[in-house]
Amino acid sequence: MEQDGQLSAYRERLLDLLRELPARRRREDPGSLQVFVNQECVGTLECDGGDSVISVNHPRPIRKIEIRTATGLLAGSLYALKVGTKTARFPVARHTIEVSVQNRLDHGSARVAYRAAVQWWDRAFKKMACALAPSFLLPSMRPKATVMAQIALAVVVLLLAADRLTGRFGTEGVVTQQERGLARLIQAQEAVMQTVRAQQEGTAAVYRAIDSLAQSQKRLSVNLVSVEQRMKALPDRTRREVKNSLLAELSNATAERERLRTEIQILTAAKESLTRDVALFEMRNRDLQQSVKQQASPSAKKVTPQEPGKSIAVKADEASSLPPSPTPQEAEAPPQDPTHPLTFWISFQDGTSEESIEQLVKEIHGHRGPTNAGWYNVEVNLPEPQTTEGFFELLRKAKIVKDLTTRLNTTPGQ
Amino acid sequence: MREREVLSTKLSTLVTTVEEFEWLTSEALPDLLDRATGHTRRFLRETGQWVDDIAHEKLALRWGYELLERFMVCGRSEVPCRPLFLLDGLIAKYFSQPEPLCYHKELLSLLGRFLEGLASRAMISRDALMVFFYHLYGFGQGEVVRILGLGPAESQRVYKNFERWRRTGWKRAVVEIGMTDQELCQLEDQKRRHPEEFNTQADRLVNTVQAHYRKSEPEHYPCLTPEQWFKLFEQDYGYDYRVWHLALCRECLIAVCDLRRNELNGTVAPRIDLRVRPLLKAPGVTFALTHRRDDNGTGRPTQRLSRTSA
Repeated sequence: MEQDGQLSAYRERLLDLLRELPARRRREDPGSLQVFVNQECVGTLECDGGDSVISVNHPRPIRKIEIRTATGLLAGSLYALKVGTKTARFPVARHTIEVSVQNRLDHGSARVAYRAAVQWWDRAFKKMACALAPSFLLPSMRPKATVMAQIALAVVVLLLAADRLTGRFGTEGVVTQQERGLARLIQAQEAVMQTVRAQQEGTAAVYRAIDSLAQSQKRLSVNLVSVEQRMKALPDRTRREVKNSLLAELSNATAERERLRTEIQILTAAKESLTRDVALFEMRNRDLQQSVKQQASPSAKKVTPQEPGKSIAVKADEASSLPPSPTPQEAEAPPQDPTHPLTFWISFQDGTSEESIEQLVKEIHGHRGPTNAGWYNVEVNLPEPQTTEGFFELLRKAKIVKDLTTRLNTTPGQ
Repeated sequence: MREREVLSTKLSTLVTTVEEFEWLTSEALPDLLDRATGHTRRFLRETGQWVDDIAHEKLALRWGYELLERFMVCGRSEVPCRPLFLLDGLIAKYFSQPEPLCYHKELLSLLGRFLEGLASRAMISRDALMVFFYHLYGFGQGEVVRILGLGPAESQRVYKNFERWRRTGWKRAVVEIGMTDQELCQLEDQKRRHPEEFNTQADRLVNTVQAHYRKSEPEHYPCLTPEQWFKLFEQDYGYDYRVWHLALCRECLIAVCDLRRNELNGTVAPRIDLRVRPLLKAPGVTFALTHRRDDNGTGRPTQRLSRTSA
């Protein structure tokens, strides 16, 4: 029972708060307004001065927008469940909040504007100021005129009130009071007229100043246009120049790279030929050393039985060692050329590596030439007694060799 | 009885003017509140978050009240409409959001309810957000202005925030949360008897509450490094971020106090020092408010749920 009582008391309190809401909205000064979009606070509108506006762009459609005062009072709420525009106005105290929501399929935007109420005396003074102000006065200058008129009117009212009070409690007669009052009123009116005249002169001076300012602004805008045009022209030219220079630099760099590549290729080829020459010289050197040893030892003259795994090069060397070997003195001297050159084409089994091919060419002391359709051009120096057919037979025994010929049907390089 | 039936029928018929809508809703407020509360209760039951006790009944009432408040304001822009159907539609829309409600068992104690209620209020009220610094750390308006490094106009607003909270805000917040004066006195007694234990418990709960409610404003959620804070204060921008984030992030508040210790002129680092009542001008008024009693409830700690704002 106690709990029920507590609950009903709480319910009654909440109902009272709800009943109080419209009155609170009319009564409470908003202070500042918090704007919530889809239940997230997106900004604050300060209501201390005049009108203020806040605009929100949301990455998703805006489903709900709420505006709450600094005390948390819900001042405005708007549901926008469809694509399109929705607007609403909510009163807060004497002021107004204007809410506008624009939803697209993928995003939404909202604008919340606080419109401060205009006081009745503000309106009255504005009307008076408009009446007093010269017709040529610009609208932006009117607030100053309003202030001046307010001051003048306040002075008049104060004078009148002072006059009335002093008249009421004074000892002089009513007529004298009225005369004095009239005289003061005339003086006050004159003062007001003087003020208005001075104000008119001042506004005329301001108007002249504004006129000259407008002219200078025109000149400035003309100058700005010309400067903009120059600026527009200048970047295009600069861009073209930069582009041309960049293209030139790029083409230079490309040419330089091509030149370097060619040089590297030449150097690589030279290095390869040098390597081959070095290998050839080493081989010849070794042969010479062997022949020197054979001459030195009589037992070396015996021909050793041919081993099955002996390489073709050794056989070729053996074949070439049929003539009498030169003496060391002869070896040191420029050797005679007992060989004849042979150029032939050789093809290898599929899958033969370049290393094996190189090895074979080295073994036969050959020089590689161009290749054509799987055929390798090789040049060797055959010893005088060895025939081409014999040499080919020896070569065909190698496992990697597929075929041999002295002439191709197609011209190399084609 | 017949009048209520007529009113209920009218609520289901088409309303064509704003005046008619306002009159009808003001007349049928109890019915509408019961309807909104009933929807909330059913939602909590269906999501397995309902327990038959007074705390949950209070919670359903409070949410029903909040939903009805929104209905009363936004309904004006939906005219012509059928008010009862509009209310049902708004409630259904609210409860169909992804994870609109959730339990926070850490916040079921008396202290937890108080802290969660204040933070929940701070999410929708600038006054409550500013005085959050006072209720958590005991900072007065001058200290808040110094810590946040606000300009003259913003400082003036902080004083207004404190003033409004002192006059009406705190009382209204306590009523809306559903805390009785007896419960508030219990909190104060706990603090007086066991201050260290009380503040330690508050310290833990404050972290939970702040982490929970900081998610309500994604743009102001991420923390800054000390260098970024220094830049922000030096270049004098991001007032909104300072207020929001530092009210809801204790670690950053400590970093900022440390960074600005020269400007703070002896303001101590933020240490949890929970204040139940609002900051008052005169000590005599504080005494009167502290010893005021209200006979509107038993003051027994009640269980309640918290709400996500995101």
